[in-house]
Amino acid sequence: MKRADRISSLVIIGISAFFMVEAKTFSPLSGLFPRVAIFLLGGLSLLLFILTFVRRDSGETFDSASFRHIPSLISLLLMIVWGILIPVLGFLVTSLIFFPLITLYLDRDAPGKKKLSRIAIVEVLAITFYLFFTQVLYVPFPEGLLL
Amino acid sequence: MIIDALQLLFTPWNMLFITLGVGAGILVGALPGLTATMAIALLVPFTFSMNAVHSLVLLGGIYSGAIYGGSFSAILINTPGTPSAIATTFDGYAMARKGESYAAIITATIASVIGGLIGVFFLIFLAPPLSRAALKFGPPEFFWLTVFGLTIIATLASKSILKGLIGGAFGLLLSVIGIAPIEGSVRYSFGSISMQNGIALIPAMIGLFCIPEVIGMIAKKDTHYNVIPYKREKKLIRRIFFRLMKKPFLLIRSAVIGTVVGIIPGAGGNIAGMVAYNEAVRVSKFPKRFGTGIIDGVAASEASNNAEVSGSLIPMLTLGIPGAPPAAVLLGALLLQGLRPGPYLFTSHGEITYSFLFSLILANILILPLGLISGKAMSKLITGIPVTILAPFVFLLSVIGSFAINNNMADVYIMLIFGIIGFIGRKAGFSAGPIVLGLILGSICEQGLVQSILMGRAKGSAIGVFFQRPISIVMIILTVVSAFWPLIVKIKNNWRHKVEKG
Repeated sequence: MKRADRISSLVIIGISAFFMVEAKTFSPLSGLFPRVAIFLLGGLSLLLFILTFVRRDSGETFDSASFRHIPSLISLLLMIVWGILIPVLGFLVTSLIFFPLITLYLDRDAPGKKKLSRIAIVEVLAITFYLFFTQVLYVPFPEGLLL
Repeated sequence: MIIDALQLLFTPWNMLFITLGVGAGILVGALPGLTATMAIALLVPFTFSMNAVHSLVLLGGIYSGAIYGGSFSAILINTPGTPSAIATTFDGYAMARKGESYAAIITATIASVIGGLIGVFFLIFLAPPLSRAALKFGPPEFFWLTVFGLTIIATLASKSILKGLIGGAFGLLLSVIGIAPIEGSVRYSFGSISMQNGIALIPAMIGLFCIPEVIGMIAKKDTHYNVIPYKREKKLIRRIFFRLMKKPFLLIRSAVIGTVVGIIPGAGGNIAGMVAYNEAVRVSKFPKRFGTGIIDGVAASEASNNAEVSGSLIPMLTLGIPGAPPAAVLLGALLLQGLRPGPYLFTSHGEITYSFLFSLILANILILPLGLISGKAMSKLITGIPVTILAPFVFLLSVIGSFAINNNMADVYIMLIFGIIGFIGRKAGFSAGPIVLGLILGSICEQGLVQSILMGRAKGSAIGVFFQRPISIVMIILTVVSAFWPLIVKIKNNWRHKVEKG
């Protein structure tokens, strides 16, 4: 974790510096608490950075035991695209597209019949939740080009 | 008056409304992002045409049920259904990972019922003096309360205290985003109007807890969520009940903490749960076992957050000051029914008021059967659904939960950004708990600090404002003891070893 600690502490120090520069425009009392938080964050991150040179390394760069990186990153990407497209296509349409898409991607090695039954299940789930929230709880989900 | 109230309460309609309230509350609480506040707010317009007792027992049932229901998703998918269940994730989810999800739910159910009943006891018998004490909390007391709260980080940081402190400071920094409470500067909004309101806690919490969990499900090669599936055990309820009965101090202490935190306006069930969990760790003979999946952690958090329900109603009923957001919405329902909070509520409208208070006893008792039945079904369901369906389904719920709070897409984006932060943070060894704690306490801490400085300027002595008020002194002592507790324990153990060696 030594390298991960070094990278994360440098990133956090960078964030602290950025927030500090921005804090200069605040009025005295509005800027007081942000400065306290920035000093705490920056100071503690600096301590973590220094400790990476002092402590012994545990070996791993990141905590990655039995972790499949590619499926998880592709799924994360699909989820982000799902979220971004909601205002464009609408909540229902994006859910009907991306929910089965992720299931299909994760089930890519499954037999065809199983895939079909799972797609049917997730589509029914998406529609049920959509109807429950819009018709019972009156949550106005975003509508898009189609619905 | 008490007999009249009981007669008013024990009608078939009231029983039906309490049951419906608790059941609906559990369902709402179990869905991440849907809170007790939202459920009560949605139902208040429907209760307008009902009679006062029907309306209040229904809403009281929802409040109690929702706070308890938050434990389901906290235990089963490591995502607190409501902010009150944050501390339940620490041991509840660890139990689920060991295949003990139903045992964790039984613990949460029994602890919630006991905590809730203790809270109602305080509400019925000690409401007026406790409310007067709560009014003595000014800005310096709130400041020290949050500083005390921040000492919990040492408990929440599972692997490294330093990383926990960094997470806490990061949460504090994120809490300043938006318009400053004093002087009104717009801070770190980056030109976005949505960001001027600050970062909403619930989307951030869903993102930090839920998204890394979803990615974790996908990343592992298991076809089903828990490595060890749900285990059917005989006499499990009885066994856990007797185990919990052997820990009366844990339950009573947590419930008292929940009630006291609930009384203080602005401090909600989330803080209550975390403080109670921290105290359970501190007092335990085996503090290192917390976080590995033991019933003590689940019981502390759940007894506390359900006691907080009654605690938050104490200042609401006696002074008209709600102790927590759901109590604020309940206050609206009370006023809609023509009931004005204050001492007269217990005299002129005593029958209705006491009916409502007694209904909370019934609501807490009803949590037991309803919770155990639905908990068993949920445990089986979650561990039985293939990951390929469960992972995107949990994401769908996260989107719905984040959006439904303010009907705003910006909250969904906040959830996604915090999801990425949580995922990277988890990989680098930073846990979500301290970040959320910093985010919760940051705004209360800032307001307390700045207002205290202004009070100090007006009085000519900041030291007097910060260090000479009686409650502040108690809070400072508690903070020092809590911060140095690990050191005190170490010294105590060393001394004991020396004595044993002779």
